[in-house]
Amino acid sequence: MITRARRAAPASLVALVILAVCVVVAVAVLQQLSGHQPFIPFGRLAGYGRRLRLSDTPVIVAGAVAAALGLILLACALIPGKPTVLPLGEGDGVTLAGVSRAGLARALRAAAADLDGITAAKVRVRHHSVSARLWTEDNDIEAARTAAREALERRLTQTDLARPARLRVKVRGAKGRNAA
Amino acid sequence: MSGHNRPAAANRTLLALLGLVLLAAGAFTLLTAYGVVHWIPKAHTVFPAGRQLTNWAPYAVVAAAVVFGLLCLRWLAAQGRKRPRTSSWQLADDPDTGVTVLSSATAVQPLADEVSEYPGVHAAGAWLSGHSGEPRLLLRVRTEHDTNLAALRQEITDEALPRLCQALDLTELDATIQFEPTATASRIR
Repeated sequence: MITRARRAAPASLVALVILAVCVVVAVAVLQQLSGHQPFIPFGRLAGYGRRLRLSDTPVIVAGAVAAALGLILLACALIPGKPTVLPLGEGDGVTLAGVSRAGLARALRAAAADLDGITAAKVRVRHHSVSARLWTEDNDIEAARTAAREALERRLTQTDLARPARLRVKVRGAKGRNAA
Repeated sequence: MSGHNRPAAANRTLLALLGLVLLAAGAFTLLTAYGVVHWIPKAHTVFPAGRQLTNWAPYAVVAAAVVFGLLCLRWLAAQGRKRPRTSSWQLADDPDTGVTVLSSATAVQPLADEVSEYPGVHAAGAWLSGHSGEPRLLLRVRTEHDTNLAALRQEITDEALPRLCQALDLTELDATIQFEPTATASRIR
């Protein structure tokens, strides 16, 4: 059960743009029909369109812009987004389960930050990998790395991801101190 | 799983469709302008000279603008609906004894309440969709950050879900559990 981004932002943007165009066109045509001066100069536009040949530069630019926008929209639709929910293991074999990517990052960050000597922790969760950057006030960085790796691995085991993530742990001396 | 992540499929389909239309229109314009495609001679003007629009054209434009505008509003509104569609279930339909209708939101409330009482759980929400012959359950569980998810999941599938199936007289249940660990630690340490 993997859940990916919903593409709500590009969808909302496109819907708003089309909606705006529809409102503007409808209002202008209704103005024209009711005998008012429409705020889109239809007469001048039509005259311009009758002079403009299909091989003229403005037509080529418009065609290129339309094709480029089309490619962008296709890319938004077809490229799979970052997963928002990562699948968990089989479990009982009937029920599907997943953990939110942001939530897993929070859990791992807390697991690392709770360790003795760790002053700050940043955790990034991707589909197949987890990378943690930690800062420690301990002088023995190697020991801190081992402890952090153990803690993170324990939490990952308890989470039981369907596809175990590769774990990378980097530990540095606390900010403002020289690493021993 | 589209039912659990609702506007995602619609967004992808509509974006791909609009992208294809724009790409086709743009490509056709470019190919015509450079003389590769000759369906319309490239010396033609964008609007044919000396042709007047028919009388009903403005009305058609307004009607089309209203229809597409409303469809866009509907698309926009769909972005806010992130939960599965729930419905009412008809449990027994023997006309002699009357009809029992159960809102699926009511049916799963005890499950959500039970799971949110489990240790390590902050809150839980449950949504039942599909019809009573083929029910689908989505259970969203906000947990403390140090909760053992595998153990919690086992507790839910061993105790809470069988109880729901028993209460609703379901033989099988297509259930999905989504865990969301939060930044807070457990209350008892």
